[in-house]
Amino acid sequence: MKSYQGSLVLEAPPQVTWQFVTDPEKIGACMPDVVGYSVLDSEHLMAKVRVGVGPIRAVFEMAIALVGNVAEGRARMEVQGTGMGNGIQMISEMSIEPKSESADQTLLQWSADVAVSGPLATLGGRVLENQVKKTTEKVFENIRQGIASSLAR
Amino acid sequence: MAMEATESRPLGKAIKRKEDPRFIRRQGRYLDDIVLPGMLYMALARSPYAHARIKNIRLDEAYKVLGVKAILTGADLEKMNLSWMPTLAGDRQMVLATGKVLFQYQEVAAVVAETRAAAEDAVQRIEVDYQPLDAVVDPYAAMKPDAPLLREDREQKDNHIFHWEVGDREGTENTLASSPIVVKEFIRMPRVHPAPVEPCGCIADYQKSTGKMTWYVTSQAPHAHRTVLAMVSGLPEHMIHVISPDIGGGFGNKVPVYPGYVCSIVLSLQLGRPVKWIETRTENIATTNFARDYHMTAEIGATEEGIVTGLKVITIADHGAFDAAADPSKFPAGLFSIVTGSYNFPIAFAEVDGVYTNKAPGGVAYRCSFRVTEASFLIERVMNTLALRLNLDPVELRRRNFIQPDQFPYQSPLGWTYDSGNYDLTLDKALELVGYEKLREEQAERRARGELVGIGISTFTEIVGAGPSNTFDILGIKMFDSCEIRIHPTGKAIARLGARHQGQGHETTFAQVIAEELGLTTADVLIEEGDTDTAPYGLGTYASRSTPTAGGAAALAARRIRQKAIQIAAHLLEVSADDVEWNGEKFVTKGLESRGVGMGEVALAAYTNLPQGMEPGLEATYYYDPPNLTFPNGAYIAVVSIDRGTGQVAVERFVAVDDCGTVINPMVVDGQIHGGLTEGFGIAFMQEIAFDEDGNNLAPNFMEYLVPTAVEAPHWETGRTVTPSPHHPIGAKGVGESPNVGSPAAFVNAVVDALSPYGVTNLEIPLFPWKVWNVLREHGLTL
Repeated sequence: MKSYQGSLVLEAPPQVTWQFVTDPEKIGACMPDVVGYSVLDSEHLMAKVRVGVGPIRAVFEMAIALVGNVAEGRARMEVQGTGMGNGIQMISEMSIEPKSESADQTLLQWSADVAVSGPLATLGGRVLENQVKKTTEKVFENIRQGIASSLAR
Repeated sequence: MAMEATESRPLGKAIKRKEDPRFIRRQGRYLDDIVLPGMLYMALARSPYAHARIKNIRLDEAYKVLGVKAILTGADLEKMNLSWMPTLAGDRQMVLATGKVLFQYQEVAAVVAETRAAAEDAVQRIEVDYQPLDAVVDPYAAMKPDAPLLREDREQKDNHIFHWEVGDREGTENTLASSPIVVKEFIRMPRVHPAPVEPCGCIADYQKSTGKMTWYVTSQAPHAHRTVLAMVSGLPEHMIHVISPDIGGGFGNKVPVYPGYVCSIVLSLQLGRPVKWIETRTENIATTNFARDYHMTAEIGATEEGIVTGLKVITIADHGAFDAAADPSKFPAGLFSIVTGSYNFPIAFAEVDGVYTNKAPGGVAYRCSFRVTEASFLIERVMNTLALRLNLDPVELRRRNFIQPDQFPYQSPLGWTYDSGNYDLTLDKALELVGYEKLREEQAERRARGELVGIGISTFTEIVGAGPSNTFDILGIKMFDSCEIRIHPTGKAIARLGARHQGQGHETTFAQVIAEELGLTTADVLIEEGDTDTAPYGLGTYASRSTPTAGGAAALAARRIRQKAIQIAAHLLEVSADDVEWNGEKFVTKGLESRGVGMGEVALAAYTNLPQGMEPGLEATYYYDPPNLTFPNGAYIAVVSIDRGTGQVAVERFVAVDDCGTVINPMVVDGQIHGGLTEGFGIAFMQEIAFDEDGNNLAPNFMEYLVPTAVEAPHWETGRTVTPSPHHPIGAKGVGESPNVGSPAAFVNAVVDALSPYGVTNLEIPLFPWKVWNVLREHGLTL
């Protein structure tokens, strides 16, 4: 299990951010290298994601659950995926609050515990950790870009 | 120089290996060369998680793959009472997972299909819902009270497997407390894998019409496997025919029974067609039995003059998810109690605690006789620490503590009776070969120039040849071995043995033993092994036991033939049997050496011209139950230098002097030594099956788990002394494993010696360059 964390300043009010990160349709599109996804209900979606580490390439079936607590300004994203005999599990916590200087900006702080199992973890060897970190960060970068482009429309 | 197999009196001669012409012409017949009519192929779905609960398994998509004939899951096997199988260590192991998985790559489902590709494709379409659980990777963490419980199937609700101890704990502790010098060292011997070139596999061929199961399997112990199969499957043992074809290396890895074997047998029984299963490289390294994973703490007490007073050893043994160690039943820690080694310890104590973790199961005797490498590595390393502590030359420390020739048979404080040895003689030979005194002078000169140069000594004693049947058994089957010899009318012979070679050269060496006893040439004797329908029952080849057990049986079966042959010879010579003697080549009339008959004439007479009333034919079988184990020893010296820029260790010289008793074929012995030293080199410098904190195996392939090739292997210089075993029929002791047992400590002692002027006394193997470089950096020794 590897733990990562980061924070983003989003050019959007907290309410917009909140709606985005708890919307399965939007989150599905933010998965890095997504091949396709289907929304199951207001809190769950399935996504097919292409994952590659070192010599291993696999399409993962990801079950994603989104749980939000508006009062606390916290959201939780649980991702569990399998593909080609590999397993990926990510549990991410997000806190969403106004950035102090501006009501039009949001501070999104996130942390993620990620575990990778199977040949992907073993054959990926030494390059795995960097790749997992990069992919995890990419999820949140995609969220930032997704919010920005939704506001631009 | 190598000699032809037509040499007379072949014992001790470097006869060319009879098996090599077919191997070097690619005419060996290995398991994967066998293709039977109507054969199906099996592949296994495996867990990506080291510890997880199985919530659901869906097979619909897998069944859609063209050519799939059947898919087995643990639930299917549960209905047949086959979802678990017994291990050789008396534990049990899941065949296909039910409830939860306990190590990464554990077997979850088996697919059988018309082609291997279809079976593999279907495996990828099996959908398993896992609920990941916390993995336990560290054996010390596994023993904590709050550690996750791994084996929920056991009544005992913790991860502890066994506690084993030997010797006098209180006496040893008192001795250490009163000893003026005590050194203490933690020595970890990491998990490694035998990694034979050919992985494990089998073909189960059940004929519904005859009710007979023919099972081709990469087996080091075909008879034992037949018995286990009969016990597990319920098939009558006489209807099981086990054939172990040519084997591409075993090193202990092909002793246990694996889940893939059971699945292929079940599927063949169900479908009435042959089912082949052969592992991939990753399956072999990541799931079949590993070796070592011993975590040892040793204390040696000594006088200020360097005379050892006592030894205490505390060990944690990581056995993985199931206790599938391939040790004799009464020895859960194998023969680890050889840990006092070549030294005259007045008192000692050792204990081992076995622990479950979320790793593949195992604990095989990887080119060592049941945990002897661990014991030897430990004592040879800690003796080195003691030499440093006393500021004594490690050679001198050893000389002061060797068991002396007049002490044999020597009773060790941990219960063994050593048969023979002359440790000073073996060490003298090694020192002479390496030019020790000059080497130390050169070392001093090079050190003065800033070079990091080390000399490492290892003077080990092994214990092999399990074993005397009153002490040694596997699953209750006594560990004897056997040989049946038939002499044909023209004086040629066929011999079948219960052992099963995997490259050791039995087809040559056992032919030499029999030919020597019967006055034949090696070419006259055909050796057959590995077929349970023809060979007498035996416990197989591992732990350097073939020559001590089956080799003894071969000599004694031949002598049994001579007992009858002398009667026939007397008949031919027209004298009384009392007037005939065997002169090593033929039967001669006492006092009239020129009047004699050879085995060829006797053999012909056995079928054509017998004494009145004598039963025709000339054959014998011997089941040899050795009275004791044998105790080979050796003196190894490594010379290394370390690159300050990279941490790379160069082995500049390596001298190995072995004493394995009577030598049957010096060329074969040298080959065994070269192979074992190369494996020992890999263990010291290149190999570890490491895991991350989630239980992912980080070295399940030859990209990460390195096997030394001719490029990396140093040049080996070998020598030998001969101290025959007094109880073995030809005085032989076994040698295949000595180099793997003795060499890792020599390598590490050499690297420590190079760094000891800077305060380094201990290093953890494997000595990857980056690890050595880190040590150099810590001590300000990098460029």
